[in-house]
Amino acid sequence: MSVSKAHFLILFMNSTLIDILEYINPVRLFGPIFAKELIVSSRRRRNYFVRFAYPFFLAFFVASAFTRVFGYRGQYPSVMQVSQLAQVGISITTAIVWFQFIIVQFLAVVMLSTAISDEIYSKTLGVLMTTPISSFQIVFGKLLSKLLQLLLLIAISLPLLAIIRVFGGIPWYFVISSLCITLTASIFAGTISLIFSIYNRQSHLVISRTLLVCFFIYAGPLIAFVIMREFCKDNLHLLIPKLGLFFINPFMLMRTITTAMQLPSASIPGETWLLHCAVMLGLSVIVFIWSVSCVRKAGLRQITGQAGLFLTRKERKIADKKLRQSYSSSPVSGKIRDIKWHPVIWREIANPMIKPNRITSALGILLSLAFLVTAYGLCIYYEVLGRIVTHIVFVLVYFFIALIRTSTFASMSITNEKEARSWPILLTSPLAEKEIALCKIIGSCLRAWGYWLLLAAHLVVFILAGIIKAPVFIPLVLIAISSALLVSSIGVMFSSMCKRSTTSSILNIITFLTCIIPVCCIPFLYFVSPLFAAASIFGVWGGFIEMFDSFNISPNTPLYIIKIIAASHFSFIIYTVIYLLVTYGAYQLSANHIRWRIL
Amino acid sequence: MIETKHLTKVFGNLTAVDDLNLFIKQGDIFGFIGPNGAGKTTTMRILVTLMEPTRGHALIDGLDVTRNGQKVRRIIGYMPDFMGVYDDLKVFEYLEFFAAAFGIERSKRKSIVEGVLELTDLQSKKSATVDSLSRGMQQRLGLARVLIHDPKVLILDEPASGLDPRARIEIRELLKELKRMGKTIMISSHILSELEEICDHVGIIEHGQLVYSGTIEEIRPRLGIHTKVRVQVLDNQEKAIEILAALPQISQVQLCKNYISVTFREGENMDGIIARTLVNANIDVVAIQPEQLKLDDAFLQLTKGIVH
Repeated sequence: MSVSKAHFLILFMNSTLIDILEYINPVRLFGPIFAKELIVSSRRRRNYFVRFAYPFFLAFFVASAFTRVFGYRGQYPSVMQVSQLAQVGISITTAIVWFQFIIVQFLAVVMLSTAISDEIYSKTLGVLMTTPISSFQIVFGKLLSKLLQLLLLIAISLPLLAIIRVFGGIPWYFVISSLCITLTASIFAGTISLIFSIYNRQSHLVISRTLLVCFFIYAGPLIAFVIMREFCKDNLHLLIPKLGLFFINPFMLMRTITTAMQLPSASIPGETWLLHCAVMLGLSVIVFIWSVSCVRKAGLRQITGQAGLFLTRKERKIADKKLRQSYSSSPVSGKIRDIKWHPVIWREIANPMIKPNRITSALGILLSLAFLVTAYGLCIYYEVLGRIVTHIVFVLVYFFIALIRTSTFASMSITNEKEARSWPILLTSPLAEKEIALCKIIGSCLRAWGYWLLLAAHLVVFILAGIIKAPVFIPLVLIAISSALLVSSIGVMFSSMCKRSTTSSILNIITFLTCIIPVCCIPFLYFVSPLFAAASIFGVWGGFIEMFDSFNISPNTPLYIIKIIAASHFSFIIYTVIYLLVTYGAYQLSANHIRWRIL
Repeated sequence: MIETKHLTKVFGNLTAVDDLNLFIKQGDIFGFIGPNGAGKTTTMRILVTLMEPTRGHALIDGLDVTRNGQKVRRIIGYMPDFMGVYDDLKVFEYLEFFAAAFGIERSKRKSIVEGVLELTDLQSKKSATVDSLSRGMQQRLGLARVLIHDPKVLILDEPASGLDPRARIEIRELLKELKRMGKTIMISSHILSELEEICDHVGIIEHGQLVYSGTIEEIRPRLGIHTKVRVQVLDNQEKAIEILAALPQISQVQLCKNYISVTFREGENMDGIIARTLVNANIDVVAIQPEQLKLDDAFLQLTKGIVH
């Protein structure tokens, strides 16, 4: 080989190597979007709030798990406490793992709920399309930047898990497998949220739709399996579907892992969780690729000035028709609604619960109806429709859905107007601050009437059928009205204080989870939560007094007094008064903050 | 009708409005001019009760905007620089909503809404959704909204921004109509030539301070700008220049492309002296046209264009 040939070969190899290195260069892969997202996220106050709130609630959750096993000081004798010491490690690990599993998934959904919609709303997506930045880099940059923040949150608990692992005898693979399952489930939920954010401007819609999709993906096959098990008696035939459930349902796998951890001969087959993680990652990749193609389309629609960026194809046709109308001078016909009540209340109700032309909403209604029919059908099949416990579950589910919808509507009621910049216009009208706040609270409650109707229909039908005792009705209606006002006033309060819908809805959801459904099991909040109040009505007025026996609370403690109050016949009056007092406080705060952060 | 006394608004280290003293008479159209970030919008937001001043007072119809917010809001109509709309409402519903918000009786609402729709020429669009309207129509709808409760005072923050020439002319005509109806209008704009045509008074603001307030005609002596006249003659341009330059009232004579630019001394004005002198000298005069001071020129001279 001559010198020149060798020289040429070296040059060629060098240039090829440079090309390869350039191609796999992480900076190029992540793109400037990733860097921009990291810079911006460090400036957002809500991220600091999350980083503060996460360890706070984690510590609270761990402390709660600790006291559940170990008891309060003086509650159990010392010998008993020492004997329970071994259980503490397992209990705390389980608490941390489940807390992370739920919260990190939820945060992934929330954080990515405005990932693309913000770019579309601020009209920067179309501009990005005119630069060499690829759609892949946009989506990947968005996803990875948020995942990094979630990893940071997961890392907070690692030292604690390591200590417990060393002193509590928890095997490493339990810790590692649970972390991997949490991470892959979060990536999957995050990618679904991201794709929804291309088509929905409002974060609460993205969040609720993502949660609904995840619910159907996880619960749908499970229900199908339960039904299949009834008809197929051969366990061998059920083995493959059962294994399949473990691969696509992180909740089931996590439950199996945490249950296995508590057994003396704790072990889990390594392949199951590894395969599960691989499946979840594969599904995430599919959704990711789908997002990449959708982002490009949305960006191109924006840059070419086409209407309906957040809409489906059918909706875009309607939007394009509207656009044509705007340029024509011909008269536009259509039905005009009358303003019957107070304008602010009317405006809230005029906002439809479900937009009639949205395909996704129609699909959601159909799936919900199918779910409802299946649920009642299974109850009839198993002959449990006559049991009061079944109805407590139904009432609580309907109650929860109605509360969360009321709360969501309320938390968006003012921020949506701030984002649309119509809020300052309303504030220059002679409507008083208190009047606006009150109307927003009432309006949000009325807007969710359809969901409350489900609860009322169930109660009326089964009271008439003689299954639910009639005296339950009035206390439950009082609890429902006062709780609706409570969640609505809290939502409006956050909405008046925040500038953006995302911040308001996140704060509202955190409050909802901790106070309305106290997932952190804060003892006092647990007993005053509207869901518990609704259940306790069945206890005292519906003849299901046994429900109070399940709370083993030592006498002479404050919680015992609360339990006695909850078990009294007039507890509903106390609950109603408490809720109305909190409602009044939140209403006052809302009124005081109506002119806050409006510009 | 509108008065501010030592009005000051401070945001952290930034003084957006600094000791602003304004007075706008009833029935006037007041043009509020200033570079970006000069404090125009902040002043307007204080006047419409959306903000509270750090110091000083703002009065509308004798009412302090901070203390009597509710009463002030009944007599004002505010149109912000960016009109936020309720995108799921129709034009008629949108106006009726605000009619209800301003406490107009239900029986009267429909006729009032029809009236403002007619005034703003939006009748054909009353069943269209607000978000389907073009920018110009949305601005007209914004004007219709501020008129719904028949306010005495209109505060319009750049109502013509982003509009095409036709829509701008329409808005201008609408404002003239409103002036005829006796409304007091405070209007801010960057399109200075438009304000020049419709405003009785102008206020020029920079760094939150009022650098000029008065009529457009009053700006000239204030800036030391002398009367200028364009003279066109049929021939003998050199002779005309020579004759005009000899006049004691004239300070400068310049030959431009096809006309002669004549600048009078301070305090002096035309009074027909040019025409008389040239005719007496047997020079055929084609045209004598006063050179008007453009608001743009005054704006450039009064402001340095420095943004906060």
